[in-house]
Amino acid sequence: MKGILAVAAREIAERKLLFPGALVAGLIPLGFPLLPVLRGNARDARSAAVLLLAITISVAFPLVLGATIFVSDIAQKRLGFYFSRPLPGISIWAGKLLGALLITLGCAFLAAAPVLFLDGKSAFSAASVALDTPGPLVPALLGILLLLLLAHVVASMARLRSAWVVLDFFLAVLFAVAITLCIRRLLLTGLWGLEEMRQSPERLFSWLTAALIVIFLAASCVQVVDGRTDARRSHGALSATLWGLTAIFTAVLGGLAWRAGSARAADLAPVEPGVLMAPRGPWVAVPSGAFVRLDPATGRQEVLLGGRR
Amino acid sequence: MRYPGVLPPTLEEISLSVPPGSVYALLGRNGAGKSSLVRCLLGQQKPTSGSCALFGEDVWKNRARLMEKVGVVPEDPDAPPAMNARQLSAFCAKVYPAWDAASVEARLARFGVPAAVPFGSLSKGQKALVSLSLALASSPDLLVLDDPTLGLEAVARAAFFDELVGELADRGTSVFLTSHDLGGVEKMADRVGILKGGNLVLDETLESLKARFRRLRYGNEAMDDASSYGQELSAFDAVKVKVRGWGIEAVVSNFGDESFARFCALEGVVDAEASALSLEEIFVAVVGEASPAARGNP
Repeated sequence: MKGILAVAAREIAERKLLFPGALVAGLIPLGFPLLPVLRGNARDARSAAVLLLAITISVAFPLVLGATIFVSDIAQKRLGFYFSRPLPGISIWAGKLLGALLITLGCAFLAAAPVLFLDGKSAFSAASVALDTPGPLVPALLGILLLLLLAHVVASMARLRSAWVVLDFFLAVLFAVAITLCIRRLLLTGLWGLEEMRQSPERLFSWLTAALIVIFLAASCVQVVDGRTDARRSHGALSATLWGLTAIFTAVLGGLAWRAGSARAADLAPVEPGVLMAPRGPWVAVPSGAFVRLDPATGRQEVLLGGRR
Repeated sequence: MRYPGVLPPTLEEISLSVPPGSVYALLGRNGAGKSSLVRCLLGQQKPTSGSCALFGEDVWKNRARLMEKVGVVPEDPDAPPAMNARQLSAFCAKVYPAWDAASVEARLARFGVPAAVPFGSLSKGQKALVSLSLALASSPDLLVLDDPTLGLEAVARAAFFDELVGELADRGTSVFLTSHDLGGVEKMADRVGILKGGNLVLDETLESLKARFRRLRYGNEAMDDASSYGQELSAFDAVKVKVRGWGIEAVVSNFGDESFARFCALEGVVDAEASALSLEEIFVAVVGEASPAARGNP
């Protein structure tokens, strides 16, 4: 833990000028009431501007820091400074990541601080309603972490210049298609309440984001711990872990999709009272206000008019 | 170890040991694998096969713990460029079990290196001296120096080696050193290893190395054919023989006073003289590629 904090503090110290910069940027919206066009609703404009600034910092900083915080050190052969100290590889990884997160959060907070100080708790109420963003901390943190890791992974592939990049590109396309097909199938079959996710996609995105964060965290950790100062080995460790875990994730999704899609009418009849199997064909009849027939393989439903079975 | 796409291994079957309190200098031409060996030795790079042991432990597996006992001065100064020497020292103080920040300040003052200037703004010589100050502040049992004086001017090189020699006299730290500055190495090395073609072709004390290598100059009145020169040197294991206008010049690797006396008594050998070689001359004779015309018969 001591090593993690030391590395994080060093990363923050190296970029300490970003903090006063963010604070100065946060002072700009305070001048909005002086603009004649905004004089009528200056407070709302101030809130919206500072919210936009905080969001910009929360997106831009993780992208820039993620793309440089490890990869620049590896590419410029400066990671040896840490690896020639009594610091475990995982402390170097976690410390740099923590440093980048704290820089982003600290700068976003400092950018918002002047308006918060002036308007108090109600600073964002108007903007929140207008932009429909409740602004919970955990999703924001996860979003920042995801951007940070995504930028790191993409920058590693682009800048470490090993032959792995060809495989990376091919597998990225392959897994994107495979995961999309699996999710489509799962949504159609309504497994595990995924039908509800169709109505509220943010739940699905939360699950996918969590899975991506876990995969990216593991891949970047293995990259630093096992790749160390060797750029080729570093890229290899990243890609092997990234695609290995993505393959496992895809296989699990694919297995679920296959399982859901392979259900037959005969599987439903014994567990659902009142369900009747069609004498011929893959159909069941479900009693309700109207008779509905369902094809479990495709999720297709048909209401039978007139109560005919 | 082997680099991808490169057929001959960069390093193969290297085994060497640095006795406690001694200075081991590993020499080799550019690309001989010295820096690769240092990275393996520091647990920063994994050998393609086999393992690398430091203090008897697998350094790849136990790197973090072993680095408590090791000070490193890399070939390319790798400290974060935005941090000054004082900040670097403060950072190291947090990660080493024992850290002498005062010694860093004292050394930097002695070298005349500003402690408050960012590392990236220092000259190459100053960076090397900062790296040395940091490497010594944890009182390491082993100091690993990867060509630390490469590209430094004479005064900075002298300051670097003087500090090192003083440190060794005070504390008896073991040193593993790679360098192209053979004059500097010669002043402090106890033992020398030479890498050639991925193999350690020579590994012995500097004293014995200098005792068995000599330059011989002589005339040979019995020689009437240029192709027959050098046959008389067989007892000395000549590594390089050249025919000059005045006679023959040879670098031999198995010199002895008795064999030299017998050599002088050979028929036709006149005006024979033997002179000692510097480490640089020995190095050139061992790893340098002699031209076919100069290679001779021995």
